Amino acid sequence: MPGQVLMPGEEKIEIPITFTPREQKDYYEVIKLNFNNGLYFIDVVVQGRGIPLHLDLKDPDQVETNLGVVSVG
Amino acid sequence: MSGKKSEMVFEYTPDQVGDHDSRWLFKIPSEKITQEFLVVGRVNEPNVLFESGKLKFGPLLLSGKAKETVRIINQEHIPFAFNFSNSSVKGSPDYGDSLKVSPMSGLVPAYGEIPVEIQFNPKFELTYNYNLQCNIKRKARPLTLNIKGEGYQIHHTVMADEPQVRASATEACKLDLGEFFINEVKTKQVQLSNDGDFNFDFQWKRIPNKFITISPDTGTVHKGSTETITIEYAPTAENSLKNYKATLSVLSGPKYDFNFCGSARKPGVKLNQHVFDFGQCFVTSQPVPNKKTLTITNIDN
Repeated sequence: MPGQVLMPGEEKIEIPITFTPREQKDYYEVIKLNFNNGLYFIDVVVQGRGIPLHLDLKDPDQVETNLGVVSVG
Repeated sequence: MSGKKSEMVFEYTPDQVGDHDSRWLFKIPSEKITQEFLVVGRVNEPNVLFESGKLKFGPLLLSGKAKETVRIINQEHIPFAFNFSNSSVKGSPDYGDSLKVSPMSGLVPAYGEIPVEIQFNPKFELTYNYNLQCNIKRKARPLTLNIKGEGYQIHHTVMADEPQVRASATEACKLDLGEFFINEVKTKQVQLSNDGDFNFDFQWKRIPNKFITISPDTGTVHKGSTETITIEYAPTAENSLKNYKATLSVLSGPKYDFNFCGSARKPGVKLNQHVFDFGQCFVTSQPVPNKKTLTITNIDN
């Protein structure tokens, strides 16, 4: 990410952090934010877990659903 | 008178060193007796002397003191009284009272010696040459001791900061390192010049501060040269200096006080969060991004 100057007096910057796990595992990253040309650092921790997607029916009886007789059209 | 003896005495009281002779003719005319007498005497200088004929003190700072001891040695079997001439201790009228001799008078024991302390304390910046005279009783000429010395002053200037200001020995020099963020390094320079004819030493004195280094903090400034001293302030944590005192002492000379001010703090950075925990997210073939926002704000004003 390119450097940016924040002026005094509450100027702020919003940095989006997105997490899209590709694997089923724990993710842990430390992002080092560098201020004043390398003179000052703040660490930000980003973590999350990738889990498998299981789609199950809430009611197992609904595995077969009779839609009845429906007219064409 | 017949059967009687008569004695005559020759008395010898010389007042000069050397050989003396005196011829006498003894006559008894009635008996036609004539007798010649040759009375001979030799006077030696008493063997009383200084162990050394000269003394060199070398250059000495005004108001400084140097002491040397010179012994008067008596190689005779009788003691001798001595005294130093006051005017020879004073020397030239423009010397001031720069020389002291102790004791000024006394007795050197037979086959013995006596130490005489000579103290040189130059009052003026000039070259001194004394011919100290010590009178020894029964010695024709006084003993002389040549004493040489030199008085000098340290001539120096102390400049500090940028633009340079001249530091004074009477008033502390203020040096402002400013306000800045930690991990930055700020420096100030002090220049010490030797404008005199003699080298001098310097030394910094201060209460230690782990963020401040002074280099060099001791050293010698050779005549005609300038030493640049760097004071470095490198705080790695939040710190502030309020009239932090460091003293530059010129050895055998004045002292210069410097008061440092400055402060270092962390940048006014505020994050909305330091930990972004996305928790459990599904791994799917068409991933859906999970989004959070890090907001960095500059809260300095």
